Amino acid sequence: MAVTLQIQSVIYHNEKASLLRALDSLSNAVRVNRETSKELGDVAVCYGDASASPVFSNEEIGEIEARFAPFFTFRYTYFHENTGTAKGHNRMGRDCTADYMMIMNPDVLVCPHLFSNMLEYLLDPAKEAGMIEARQTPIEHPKEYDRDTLETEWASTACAMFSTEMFRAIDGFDEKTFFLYCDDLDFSWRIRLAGKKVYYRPDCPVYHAKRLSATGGWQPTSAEIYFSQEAALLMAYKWSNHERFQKLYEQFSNSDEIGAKVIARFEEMKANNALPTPIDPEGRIARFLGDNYSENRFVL
Amino acid sequence: MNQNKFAPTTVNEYFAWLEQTVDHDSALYQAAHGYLEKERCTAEGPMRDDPFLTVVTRTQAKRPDMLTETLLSLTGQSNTNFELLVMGHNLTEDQQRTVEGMISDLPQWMREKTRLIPVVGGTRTTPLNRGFDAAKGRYIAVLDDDDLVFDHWVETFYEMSKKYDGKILHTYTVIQDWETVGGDFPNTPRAVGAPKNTYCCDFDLMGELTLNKCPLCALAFPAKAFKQLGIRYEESLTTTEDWDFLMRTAFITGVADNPEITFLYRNWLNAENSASLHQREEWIKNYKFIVDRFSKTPIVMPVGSLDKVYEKILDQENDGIYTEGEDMTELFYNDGAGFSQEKTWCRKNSEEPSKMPYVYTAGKHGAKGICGIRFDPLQYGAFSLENLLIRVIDTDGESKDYTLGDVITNGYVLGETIVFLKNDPQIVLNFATPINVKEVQIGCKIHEHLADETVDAVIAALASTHSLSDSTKRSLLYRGARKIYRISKRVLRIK
Repeated sequence: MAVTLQIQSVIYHNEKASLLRALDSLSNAVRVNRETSKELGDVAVCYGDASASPVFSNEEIGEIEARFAPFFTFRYTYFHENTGTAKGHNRMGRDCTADYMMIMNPDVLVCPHLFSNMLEYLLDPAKEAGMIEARQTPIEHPKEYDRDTLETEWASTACAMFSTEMFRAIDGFDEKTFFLYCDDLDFSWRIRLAGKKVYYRPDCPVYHAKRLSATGGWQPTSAEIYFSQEAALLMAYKWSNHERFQKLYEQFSNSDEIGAKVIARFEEMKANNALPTPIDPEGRIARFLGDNYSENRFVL
Repeated sequence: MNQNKFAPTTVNEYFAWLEQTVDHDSALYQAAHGYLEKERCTAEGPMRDDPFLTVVTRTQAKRPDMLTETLLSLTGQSNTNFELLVMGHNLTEDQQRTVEGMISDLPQWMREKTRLIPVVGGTRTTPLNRGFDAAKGRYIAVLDDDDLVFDHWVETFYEMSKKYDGKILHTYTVIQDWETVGGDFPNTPRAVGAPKNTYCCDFDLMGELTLNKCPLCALAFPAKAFKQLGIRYEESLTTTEDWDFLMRTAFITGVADNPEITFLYRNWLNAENSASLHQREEWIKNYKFIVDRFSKTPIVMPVGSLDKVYEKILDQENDGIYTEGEDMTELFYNDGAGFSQEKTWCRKNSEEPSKMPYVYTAGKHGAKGICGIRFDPLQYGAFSLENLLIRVIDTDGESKDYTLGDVITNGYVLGETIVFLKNDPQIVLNFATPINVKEVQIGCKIHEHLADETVDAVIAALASTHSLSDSTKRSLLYRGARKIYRISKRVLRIK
C-alpha cells in the first residue's frame, strides 16, 4: 500500500535557482519511485519562508505549483518572522496529514532512489526505526555508524525521514530551546529516549553543496559560532550533563563578545523560566565526547 | 586589429616573442607572423559554447553506487553548460542495461545532456580518446565513475576560460581517504579521513616533469589541442596516461591555475583503484616510457618558469646555511594522532620580540584537544639554546609557562642550556591532559656559534657515558664545513 509523504524545508534568503533545482531533483525522485518500487502515494513539498521578504512572488508560486503538480503538491508559507529551523518545521508539521515526514535543507539534491531506500527500514516493524538519515555528499558527515546494523546515535536533518506519528509522539522539535543548531540532535535523542532507533543510510546520497577554503578547512561565520555555542550550552543543560554545562558556562563567561552574548541569552531564559526541563539524568542516551555528540571518524 | 589578441597559450606567446624579436625579412618572422595572424582571426570570432564543457566519464559498471553519486554531483553543478559522455567500456548486456537505467533515472535536463557511448576493446585509455573524439564542448574534462566534484567545478572552469581560453585550466583538489561499507553494502562508499590539501598547489612545469601532482579531474583541456593539434591519449599506457597527456598538452598550451577547490579525490583504502590493479613493474615501465618521451621533446617553457628554476638553484646553494635572525623555526602540534609535517601553526609577529621572539597562533578560534607541541628551533645541529620559556595560552585566554624542566629534547642539557649536535633538533612539551590552544609564545636565545668549551663539555659528558655516534661526528664535521663555506662566500662577495 502506498504511503503519503510531506517534505519540508525552511528557506531563508535562498537563491531561487538553487531552490528550483532542489524541487526538480525531488520531482525526479518521485517519478523514479512511481515507475519502479512504487512505495509513494501522494507527496507534498512544503516551503516555510523565514526570510525578511518573500523569496517567491505569488506568480512564481503558481508557476511552481503547476510545474510540479504531476509529482507533488507544492505549499508555500511565508512566516513573517525568522523562525529558525525548529519552529519553522513545527509550524509546517503541525497540520501534516501524511504518513511520513522528510526534513531537508532547501539546497539539497536527492538521488533518484532516495525514497525507496529511506522508507525501507521505516516500513519494516522489526527495525523499530524512529528516524532515517541520508548521506551527505561530497563532504560526508563524519559521525560514526554501525556498518552492520546502520544504527547511529543521532541524525542530521540535512535530509532525514520519520513518521508523522513519531513527530507527534515526541512533540516535534524543541523550538523553545533551539533556534538553528542541535534541534536535530535533540530530536534524534528524544526519539531514542522513546525507545526507537535512528539509522543512517549510506546508500542514499544527497548532494549538499559545500565549499572548502584553499587550506581544505571550514570558515564559520560569527553567527554560526554564536548559534553553535548557544546550542552547545543548552544541550548540556537539557541533557543533564552538569559538568559540561559548568565548563561551557565558565568558558563562555570568560571569553569574547560572542560568549558573553550566549551567557546573557541563557540568563534571560532562566529569568523567564524558559529553560528546558533537564532530561535523561542517568545519561542513558546522551553522549558528550569533547565537543562532539558521538564518535566521529574524522575531524572537519 | 588588436596585435595581442590571440589565445594566451605557451606556443602563441613564443611565436609572439619571435615575431617581435627576429628580423622581419627572415623566414622565421614570416612563419611566426603568418601563424599568429591565423590565431588572431580565430580569437576574434565568437566563443563557441555549445556546450562549454564536455565531461567524459569512463565506466565498466562495476560500482553503480559510486556512479550514482558521481552523476548526482554533476546534477548539482551551478553552471549547467556541459554535456556528459558516459563511456561504457567493455560492458556486458546486463551492465549496459544497468548504466542505461541509471541514465534514465536522472532528471530530464540531465538525461538530455547525457549520451552513453559503448566502447569495445582497447585499454583503459581507449574510452578517453573515443570520448574526446565525440566531444562537442570547447573544453573537455574527465570525471571517472567514482569521482566527486564540488558544485562550482564547471563554473570555475568557465570563469577561467574567459581569461585563459586555449590553455589547460587547473583547479585545486582535496584528497580524502574512503572505503566501502561492506556487508550488505559492498560497493557503498564512506569517508574515513579528513580532506587533505595535498593537491592544493599550482601547476609547476619543471616539477611535473618528474611527478604528477595534478589529478586529472581537476583539469579541463581545450578541445582544440585534441581535435586540431592531434594530441591524443597514448593507448599503450596502462597507467599514468593522464600525466603523459597533461604534459604533452601543457608543452603547447600552458596551464592556468585557480586555487578554488573543485574536486574531491577519493583515496580508496579497501577498494579497487589503479594503484591496486597494476603491478609495480608496470608503473615503472610506463614511467620510463613517458620520461623518455619528455626527454626527446623540445619544450618551450612558459614565461616565469625560469624564476622557479633560479629559486631552486639558489635554495640548493643556500641549503643548510643558517644566518643569524633567519626564521627556520617550526612549531608542530599533536592533536592525539601524533606529530606530522601537516600539523604546524603559523608564526606571527611578536609583540615582545626581545623576550618572546617566536609566537605561533592556532587560528582565530584556537585548536581543540591538543596533547603536545614540538618546537624545532633550526633544521640543522651544532648550536645551543638557552633560557627556554614556553608560554601556552588556551582558548579561554589563560596562560601557563613551561621551562626546560618540563620538556623532552633530543639535545644535550647542560644546566640551562640545550646543545644540539645532530640535525633535526626538537623540543617536545607534552600536556598532562589535552588542552584547547590559542597561541604559543616561545622565548629563548639561540647561539649558532658553538663555543669550543661548550662542545668540549658535551663531548666530555657523552664520553663519560657512551662514545660519540658516527652521525654526531658527521653532523659536527658537516656543520663546520658549511660555516667555512659561508664565510668564504661572504669574503668573496666583499672582494
